Amino acid sequence: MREAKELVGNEILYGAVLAGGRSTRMGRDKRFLKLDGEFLVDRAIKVVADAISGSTESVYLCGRVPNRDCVVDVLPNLGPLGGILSALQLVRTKNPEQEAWLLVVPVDMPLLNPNPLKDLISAISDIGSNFSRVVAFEDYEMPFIIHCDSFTEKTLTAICHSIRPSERSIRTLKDAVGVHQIPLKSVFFESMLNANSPQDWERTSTGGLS
Amino acid sequence: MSAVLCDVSDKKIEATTVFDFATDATHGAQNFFFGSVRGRNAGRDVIAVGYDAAIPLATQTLQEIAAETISKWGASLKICILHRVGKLLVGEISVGIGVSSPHRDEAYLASRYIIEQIKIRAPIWKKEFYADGETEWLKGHALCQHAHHGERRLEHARS
Repeated sequence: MREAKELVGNEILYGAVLAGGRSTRMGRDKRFLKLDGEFLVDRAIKVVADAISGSTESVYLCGRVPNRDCVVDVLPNLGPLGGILSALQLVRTKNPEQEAWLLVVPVDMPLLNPNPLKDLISAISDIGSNFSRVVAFEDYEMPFIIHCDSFTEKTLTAICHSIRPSERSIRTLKDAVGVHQIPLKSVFFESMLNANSPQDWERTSTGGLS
Repeated sequence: MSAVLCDVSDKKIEATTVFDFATDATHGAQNFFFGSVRGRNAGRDVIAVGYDAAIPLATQTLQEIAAETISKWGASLKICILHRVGKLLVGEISVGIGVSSPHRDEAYLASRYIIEQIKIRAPIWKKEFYADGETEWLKGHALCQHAHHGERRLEHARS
């Protein structure tokens, strides 16, 4: 039984760690790079679980990750959108009557900690009756939180099915479902660094920006 | 030869637009469906419904549905699908579908397929405005409960 974090009223919160990338630029499987003795994939799951105040079981690992429980993409070869769609559908299937949100985080942010993610979660309540169904930081593609409802699912599915591959992007998704953006506190800038290449990894694994 | 007109816009849907497009001298059947805003839903008095959408994406989805319909019921179909966005009052047309085909069976089946697929797949969101002043976004269809897009799987991946 997955325990998801309760927000207000009938709302609940799940997490998704996107880990389906091929690590082409890194040259080795970045999900299993170690930082402080811990694989990045396990680290990301813990950070998200901490942020949503849930157990690691309320965090879905998206992509085929060896020796881990994971969510296989419903539609293959769609990159991060495929992982998000799979997790979103899983949340909706498990919670047909509840308002649910999904915190989406990439696996390759080694310095990410729960605090900026908690800022995103807090910002959910700012949306009010606006149409926005995503909460994100200004100028950052990820992480973000998406509302798991019929409209976001349809929109995401339509993006995956109906538009040219070159136009399929998280940006397209945010534009389509509406995004409520908040500024990232400067103290968290470093935590948002991606590790896509060996140079990135060298920089982040030795303590971030110098 | 098939012909398709799909549009999502805030312009009022004119029935004649649908009639005029979905007509062909070589066809013996035209089926028209119009969906309109009803004044009561789930026990509440409704005064209006707001439709919102990412228009290019919604239009693309309608075109995809039309293409599927043609692949199922024949290359000679003429299909018109118009969907409104914006705030519509009770009685206003929110969606218009016209299908023209050589025989009635395809026209009925294709029209039904189109409206059901719109309900299931088109990324168009409805907000109801009630007589008591409240508003509510409607939940809509649960897409993930339909077989169309396959089943999601949880698995334990082995190296």
